Amino acid sequence: MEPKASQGKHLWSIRRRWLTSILVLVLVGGIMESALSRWVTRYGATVAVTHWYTTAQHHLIRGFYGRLDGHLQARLDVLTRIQGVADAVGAGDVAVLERLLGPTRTFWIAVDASGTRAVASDAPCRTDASGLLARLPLNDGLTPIACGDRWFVVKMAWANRGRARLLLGERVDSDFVTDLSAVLGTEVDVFDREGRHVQSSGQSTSSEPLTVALDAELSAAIASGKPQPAAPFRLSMAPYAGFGISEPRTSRGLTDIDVFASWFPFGGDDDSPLVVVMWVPVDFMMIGAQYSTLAMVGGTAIICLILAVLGWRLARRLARPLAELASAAGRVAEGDLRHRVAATGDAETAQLADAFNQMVSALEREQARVVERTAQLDGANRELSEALEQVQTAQGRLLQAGKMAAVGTLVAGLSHELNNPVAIISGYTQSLLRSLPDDAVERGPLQAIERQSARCAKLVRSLLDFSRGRSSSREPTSLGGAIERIGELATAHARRRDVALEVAVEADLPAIWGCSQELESAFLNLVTNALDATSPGGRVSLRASRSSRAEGGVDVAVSDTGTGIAPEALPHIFDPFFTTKAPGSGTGLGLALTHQIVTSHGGSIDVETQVGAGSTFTLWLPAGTPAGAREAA
Amino acid sequence: MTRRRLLVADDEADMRSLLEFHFGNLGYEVESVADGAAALEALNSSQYDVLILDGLMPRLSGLATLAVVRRTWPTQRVVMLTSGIDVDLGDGAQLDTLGLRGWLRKPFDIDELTALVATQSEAAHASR
Repeated sequence: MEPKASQGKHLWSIRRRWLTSILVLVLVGGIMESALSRWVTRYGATVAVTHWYTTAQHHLIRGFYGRLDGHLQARLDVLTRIQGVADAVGAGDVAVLERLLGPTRTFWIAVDASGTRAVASDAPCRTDASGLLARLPLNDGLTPIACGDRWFVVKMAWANRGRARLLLGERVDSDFVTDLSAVLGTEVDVFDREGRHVQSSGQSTSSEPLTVALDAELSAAIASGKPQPAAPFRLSMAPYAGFGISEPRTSRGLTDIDVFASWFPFGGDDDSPLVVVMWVPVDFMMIGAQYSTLAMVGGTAIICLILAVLGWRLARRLARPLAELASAAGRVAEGDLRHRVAATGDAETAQLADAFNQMVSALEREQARVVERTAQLDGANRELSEALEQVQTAQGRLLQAGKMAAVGTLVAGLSHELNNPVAIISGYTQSLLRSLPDDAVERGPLQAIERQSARCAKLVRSLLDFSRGRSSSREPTSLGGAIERIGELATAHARRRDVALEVAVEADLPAIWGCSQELESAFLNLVTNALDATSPGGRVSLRASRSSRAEGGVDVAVSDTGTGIAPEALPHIFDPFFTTKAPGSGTGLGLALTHQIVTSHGGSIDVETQVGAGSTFTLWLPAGTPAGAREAA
Repeated sequence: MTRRRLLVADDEADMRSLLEFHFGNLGYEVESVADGAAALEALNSSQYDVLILDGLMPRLSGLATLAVVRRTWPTQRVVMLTSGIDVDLGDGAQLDTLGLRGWLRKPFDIDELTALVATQSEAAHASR
């Protein structure tokens, strides 16, 4: 039971696990976010520039070429019908040709049908007519050609029914590029395939010759790039490995704006020896930036989702032992003290689980102790209440005994004082009645006096019996005979009241140390009371049986189906002169006397009563010879 | 037939009068004294069929008188009237020891007393 020491070694600390988890999450998140941002920056911007901006630029530049083409074509249409162009070419008459072929800005070349003789408007071309012939285009599209360091863009047509070829074009000069720049809306530079700068736009305000520093990547791309033929605007992007964007750079010192460079082949031909590089201000990239913001937000959300799932799984793994503990605590709280948790997981949770298990074990032990103690307490309480009951019974008996003693003293004196007067009154009355003739008028009054004095005599005798207390002789007495005699005595009374009287005596009852006359008197009192309390048709039973008490003895029970005793009367039923009978019919001494007789025999009386259902008086009398009586004898 | 003679010893004058009146009416010759000592004097000087003795009297109580009577005149018939407190009549053994043939508790039934006295006096007369 020392898992702290043994398990703590090889288990991961929860701190280490948390730290590792967080580091892993941060690392994964960082890598993903970095990759995302790189991808978004490059790809998002590229998409924006290539797909929208450069598409638009391409259309514009095509329009530009188209217009130039149309313009040159219109002029060529006119010029090719002019008679004498071929003649002038054959004659090498530059002046005639110049007059025929138009304004000074227009560059032209006239070649004879055999292709051996050429006349050009510009001096460098004129001086190198044979070299020029070698470079002439064979189709009738727009084609850049160079004469010396000058570049021209030309269009060819046959004149004089095939007798001569005419090439009409414009010089790629500052105005030309400025026009192009105006059409595209960006600054442009024109380079040849070797990366040599040809012309710049918008330099009318600059005093310096335009120098553009192309970065190596762009230069190489322009020099060696082989544009793809499929989609013209994408061709221009191809050299940039699908991204087509170089890093932002400062160009030309003109406005010091950051630009992206993008290039197009000059003219309609992908093999064009000239390329146009346009400088796209960073502002245009705002479209891409917006796009990339969207991508960033979306990508970040996805990353967050991935991290959340990852983190949730990690947290769940961390929390599982705790959840198990919580569930175990719940079960313990519901009272399942036998439940234990496995000490797994991290060091701390293992410790916690272990501490929890120890706590539950302690609780279980405590609960067992509580149960044991409760049982002990219950037992003690039972004993206490039994003792209390005994004390109450004893107190009640003492109280009764005290009352009896006081009443007995009073009654003894009183009855003695009454004895003689009552004896004299009743004696004279009876004596007179015996001596008077039967028809004497005094007989009625004297009989009344006799009845009343007899009543007094009876009362005084009862009082005497009561006050005399324990005075009778005691001997081993069999209660069976006494009970049966009482049954016989009371039968007439019971018949008069139409009450059934049952008498039952258990065989072989133990003998009682007592006075049979007194006991009979006590039983008779109870039976008489029971008969008086029972309505006609009721039942009274007198039973004597071996007592179930530990000390043995005999129980004598008198039960009736009579009126019962009212709760307020119950505490007084053994008090002398307490009676519920009609005035004159009871002395109120019967139960007091019974009580005295029974207590003087060392017994006790219990009463069970229910108003309307009847009462049961149970006398208990101890068996054999009381210790006190034996000592006295 | 000679008249049966009764001696009544009772401190209560009305009781003596009652017994004189009642037994006189019945043909007895009744003498009465107020206490035990007077009763012993009367017994010493004369002979009575039955002594009716009150239990509680001044000078010499009924029981004490009875004890003397038992020793001196063992055949003397005695009927004792007790008020219950002067002598423990519950203890029949004591009265038997004293040779008491008949006793009544006050207040007594006059007919019972009459019967008792008649029985005792006839017995006394017969043994004489």
